[in-house]
Amino acid sequence: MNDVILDVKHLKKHFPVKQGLLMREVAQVKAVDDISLEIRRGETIGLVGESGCGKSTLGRALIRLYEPSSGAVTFNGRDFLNLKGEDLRRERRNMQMIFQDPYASLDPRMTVGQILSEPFEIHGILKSREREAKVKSLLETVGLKASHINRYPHEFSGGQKQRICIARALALEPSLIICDEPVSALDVSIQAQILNLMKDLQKKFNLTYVFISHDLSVIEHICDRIAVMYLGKIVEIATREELFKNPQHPYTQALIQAIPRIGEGKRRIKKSLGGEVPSPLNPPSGCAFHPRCPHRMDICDKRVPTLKNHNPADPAHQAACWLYEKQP
Amino acid sequence: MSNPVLSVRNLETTFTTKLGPFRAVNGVSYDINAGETLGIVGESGCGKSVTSFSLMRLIEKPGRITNGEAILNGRDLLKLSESEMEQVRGGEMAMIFQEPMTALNPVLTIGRQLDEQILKHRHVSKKEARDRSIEMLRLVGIPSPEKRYEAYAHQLSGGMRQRAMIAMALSCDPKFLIADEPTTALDVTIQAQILELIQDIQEKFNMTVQFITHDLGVISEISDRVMVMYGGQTCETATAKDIFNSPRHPYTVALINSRPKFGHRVDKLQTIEGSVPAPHELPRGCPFQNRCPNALEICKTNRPPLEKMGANLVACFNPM
Repeated sequence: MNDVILDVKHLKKHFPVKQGLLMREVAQVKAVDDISLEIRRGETIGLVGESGCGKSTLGRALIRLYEPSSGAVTFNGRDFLNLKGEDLRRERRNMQMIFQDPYASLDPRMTVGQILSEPFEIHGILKSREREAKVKSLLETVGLKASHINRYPHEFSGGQKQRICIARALALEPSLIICDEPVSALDVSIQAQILNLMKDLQKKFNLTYVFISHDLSVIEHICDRIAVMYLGKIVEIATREELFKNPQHPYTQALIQAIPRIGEGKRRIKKSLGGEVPSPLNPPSGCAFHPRCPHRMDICDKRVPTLKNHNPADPAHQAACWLYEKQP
Repeated sequence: MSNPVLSVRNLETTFTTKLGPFRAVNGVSYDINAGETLGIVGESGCGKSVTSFSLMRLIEKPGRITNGEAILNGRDLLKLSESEMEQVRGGEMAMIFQEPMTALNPVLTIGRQLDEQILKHRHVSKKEARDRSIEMLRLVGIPSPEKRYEAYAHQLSGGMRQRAMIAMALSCDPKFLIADEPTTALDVTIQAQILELIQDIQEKFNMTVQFITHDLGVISEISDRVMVMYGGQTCETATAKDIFNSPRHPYTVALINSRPKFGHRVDKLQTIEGSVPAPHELPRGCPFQNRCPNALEICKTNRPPLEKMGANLVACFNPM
């Protein structure tokens, strides 16, 4: 399993903060701050973290929906950030995105048939007669009926709308799909349908998923590997088994502790972390987690820990924490 | 059991729409005992929020409470006049919401809103109201409460706003609190903080709580008893342990199995075929019949009564 589909090196996405009459840039929000990550073909990699940790920005920067500020992204062996014009358009066919809110991602004035034909029109693939057949087969692939082709989005339930979004993402036979909280807006029983569908499709088409979610139970269910983010950085990355069995970063530990457990009866709930995620406009010095960290040491507010392996049993398990470093 | 603080009988709330009238809450009955937390869980449109808004008498047109009674401490809330109800709301009973901005006024300071609430329900001076407001903000864990007293809602973070709303709800010592998805919009670590706070306060003041959420994990940890709703009706009621470990209603079972359970990973989740029917398309008989693996002929015509089965109360002709 060494087939890397997306290789991310030192990726940064900084947003300028402008103020005053002249809209001078007064600060920068480092939404994604120096992230390196290898994504392997056919895997599901989860990005988790709380609001404002940069997981959605990272997802978008990976496929240049946000133009990264610096860094490198190699997609299928090609330098993706320097592609332009026709080359970029052609490569983009291989990467698609599914969003949280299926209501907002479908044009209410277009029929499902029009929505699903659009990718083919844009890329000039298939003649119009072939398109209709293809659209019908796409609908069936995601568990809808071919006869739905002339309906409008409002005629579908939330779960069905998300199926349409998935069908659209599949239209051009991509190899990579960025899924940004794809089930967060759905009811529990509909979530299960969509999660099962996504797993089936992954097997069928050998898809690679980047799965963004704040829900660790969903992440545990669907992901092979998981990256935990905090204020624009990855603080820990490991396989699913290792991350949940042996979480190293105190933030990961707190997140796992805060997951409500089903079926163990009422309990006295104890918060696992005090305080709140600090403003990314003015992040704490050193390790950004230090103001909330129960294991804070002297060094933590002075120097930023690097993401590296501290687990002899699993060389792929990395964490960015001074607890595991020999003190200089 | 002992005598309940709240006793709801055959509550029925009807909305009149172009497509005809539909019962968002269709004959719901339950009790909550003193100091107890009853969790109400269900998916969108099951009637869990309308039940709560009905108790608060906050149902607006085209909705109307069309039947039933809701006895809180010996008085039927549904028979009170609007002015009596105003004294009860925020006094004897209070409610907190998912989105604090719907409950907080954006153009008044947090302190001013708290003061108003206290002055309305208590015979105290302005100075005493102010002291009490600041004490409430401290109680709910808001740092530097004197400063926050002067703040507007938009100047607080989501978690702090939630705390401010809780302070407002609790400012007049309600004995009964309705919490409607109070942590749904929050991150998990903040959610744990707020749940801890609600439990602390409940214990301190021996408050009775009705907690509404769609999150099975939260409901499992916070409730003494859980009531599962579907299509405006109660499917099943049991203790938090029993409902998850020995559910009897096919909907309860399906709901629990469709949720990824942390630490108990399965390859494929169980699903419920189809989706929740639109309110005006609810079938006669049992509302779950058209998605139910156990459905019988009788389910199409008759509504199953809520009956004792083992330790659970179940409304089903053919339980699991």
